[in-house]
Amino acid sequence: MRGLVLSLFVHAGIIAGGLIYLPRVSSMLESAPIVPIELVTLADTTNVRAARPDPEPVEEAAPEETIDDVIAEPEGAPAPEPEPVETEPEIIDAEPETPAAPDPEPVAEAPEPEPEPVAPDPAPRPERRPDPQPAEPSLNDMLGDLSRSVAETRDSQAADEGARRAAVGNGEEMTATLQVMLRSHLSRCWRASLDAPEPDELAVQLVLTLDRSGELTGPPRLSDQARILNSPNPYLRVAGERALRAAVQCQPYPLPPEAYSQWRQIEVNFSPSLYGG
Amino acid sequence: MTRILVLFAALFALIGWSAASDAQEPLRVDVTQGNLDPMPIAVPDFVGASDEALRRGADITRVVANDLASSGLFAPVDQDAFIEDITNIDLRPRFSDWRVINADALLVGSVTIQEDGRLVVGFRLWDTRLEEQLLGLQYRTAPENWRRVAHRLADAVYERLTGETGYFNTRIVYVSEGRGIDGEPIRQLAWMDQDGANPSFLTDRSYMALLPNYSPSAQEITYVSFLDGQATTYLYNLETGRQEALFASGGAGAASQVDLDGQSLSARFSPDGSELAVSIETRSGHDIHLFDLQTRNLQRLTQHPADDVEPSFSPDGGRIVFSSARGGGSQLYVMNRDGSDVQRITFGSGRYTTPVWSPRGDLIAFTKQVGGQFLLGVVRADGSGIERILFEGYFVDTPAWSPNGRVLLFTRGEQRSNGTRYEIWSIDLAGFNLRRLATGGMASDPAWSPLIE
Repeated sequence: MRGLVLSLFVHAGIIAGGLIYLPRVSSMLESAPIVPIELVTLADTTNVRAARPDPEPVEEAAPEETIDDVIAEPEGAPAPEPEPVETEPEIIDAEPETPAAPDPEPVAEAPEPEPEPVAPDPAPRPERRPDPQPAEPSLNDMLGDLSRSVAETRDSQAADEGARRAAVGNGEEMTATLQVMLRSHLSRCWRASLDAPEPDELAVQLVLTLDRSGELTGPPRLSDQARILNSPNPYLRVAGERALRAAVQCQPYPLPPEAYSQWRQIEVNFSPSLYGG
Repeated sequence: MTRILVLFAALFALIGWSAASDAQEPLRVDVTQGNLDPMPIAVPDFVGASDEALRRGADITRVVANDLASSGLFAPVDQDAFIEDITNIDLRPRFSDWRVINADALLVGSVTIQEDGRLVVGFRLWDTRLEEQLLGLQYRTAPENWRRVAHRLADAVYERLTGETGYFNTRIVYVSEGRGIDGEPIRQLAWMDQDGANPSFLTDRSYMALLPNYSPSAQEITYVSFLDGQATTYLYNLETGRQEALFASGGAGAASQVDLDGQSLSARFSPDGSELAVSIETRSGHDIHLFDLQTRNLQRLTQHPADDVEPSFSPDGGRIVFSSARGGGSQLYVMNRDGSDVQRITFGSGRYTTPVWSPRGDLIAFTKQVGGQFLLGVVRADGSGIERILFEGYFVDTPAWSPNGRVLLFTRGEQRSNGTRYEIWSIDLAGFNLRRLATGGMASDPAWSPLIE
């Protein structure tokens, strides 16, 4: 009997753990590969060092010529004139340069090859990790609290439902208000891909989780992020990046704290449209 | 035992409840309007180990920043605002320093002069918001090609940040307009870099030259010459300077195959460069012909009593757009490359002329004369939807696409007290970013090269 009970508990524990933990794992796994892919791409073409701030700048990074002779005399002999050409300064200015500002005096500071580390990136990058997982309650604690939890759960569910029913009209109004506020706020940060050939196909969706002060609790994520950021369609990739950039740049989101529960999680659909919508 | 079962029930209830609260519906927002402001990008002078390298670095920086700004899609941030002093492009920049001056992107680069004199230009493009490197490349080149490298670098940045190919490493052939001693008009072909640098003449002032068009290889142009006293299409090799009259009596593709009067206008290359579409005057008026540059065979595609002129290939080579007065006023028509399946695609009032198929394939640019005004517009290649007018003015002519199909050059005439002044202007597909092309004097008839490899 004891064995059966223990077995039941252990199984229940595993299931419970799985239900709570697995969704997080799956979302973490999705995001993890993205960084390395970018790094691989970079390593291909440069000798970029690790994406982390290196404490000491590697001396003489001696850029390897990974792309050698990319430009090998792009055009042959410059402008072979077919016939003796009369120069007509009054028609074409002889100025070979675009009328740009006079050379802005090459920054005179000779690059002092000081061996000491050049500003090793003070602010250790604010690593935006997914929420730290809440400390998992031990089985004993759970057991101890169970009976209370059951009662509370019932109560809160009932209360929740009641409140929801009572405030239906009110809540929808608030939702609409929040949507308008968010739309106008995000429009300012978002650079639309209007110039792309098929803007209709460049809709991307983003899920944000905000804290009460309107800051992102973690990096924004595109639904289908891996597919979009590795898409063979460069316009789609850029549309994805622009959405991510907008979400970050738009912080903090000025939204009413009293309605926090409604805007804690936001799903944004960015879809460029020539005529608005 | 019952106590245990109750505990179980409670445990599962708890699990169910937490799952339900996790699945609370997020707030959904649809954003369709974005800001169209140019993207602020910081371009500090490229670093270098010697004075010469630093000077060249500053030159390259200036050309790159000018290219990016000219697209209207980027706004280089004033260098005086920079906080971090970039001294080594292999270190991660301090992103907060760049965000605080509102730079969304940061382009850092270095110039190294090798012992053999060659330049190595390396650069990294950073996203200051997402704190990621977006691109990193190195180019090595002969020192005199530094401008090419700068344009190419700008193209790479443009491409990475917009998703479309750039158009900065290109040349533009155009007609330089002037007046002779006796006030007679002079029209010479000239060419220059896309940003106005390195201008020179291609023809002399002894005869008029008009309407140049680039080959897809960027090595040849066609143009109309009055060298022989009448309008004749010439093929001009930009590398060797060799010229060849086409379709003229006695010339290549001569009158034996088609009964020609000799006048030929505005030949345009097929996308693979093997053929020309050209309107040639025959006894029945102007008709569209196809000329095979290899076999020298001339094939007639249209045979309508009305004039069919100004053919332009679709980028896949399968269709040709042209203008024709067959429906009364001049309108635009599209047909297969063998002359079949002619479809009219414009129906508005006014005279539609100078159709040019976009390199993207979806649009056709045209000019249109309504009343006393000229308009520059685009229409979908299948004629569906409404036409979009990008510019309206006293005189508008000869639109030419940038190789990526996002910008149009056109001849713009403005009425002045001493006559009409012709200049080349550019405008983007959204009708923004109107700019004068940096030609030295009066100019018209732009032809934009493909990207130069």
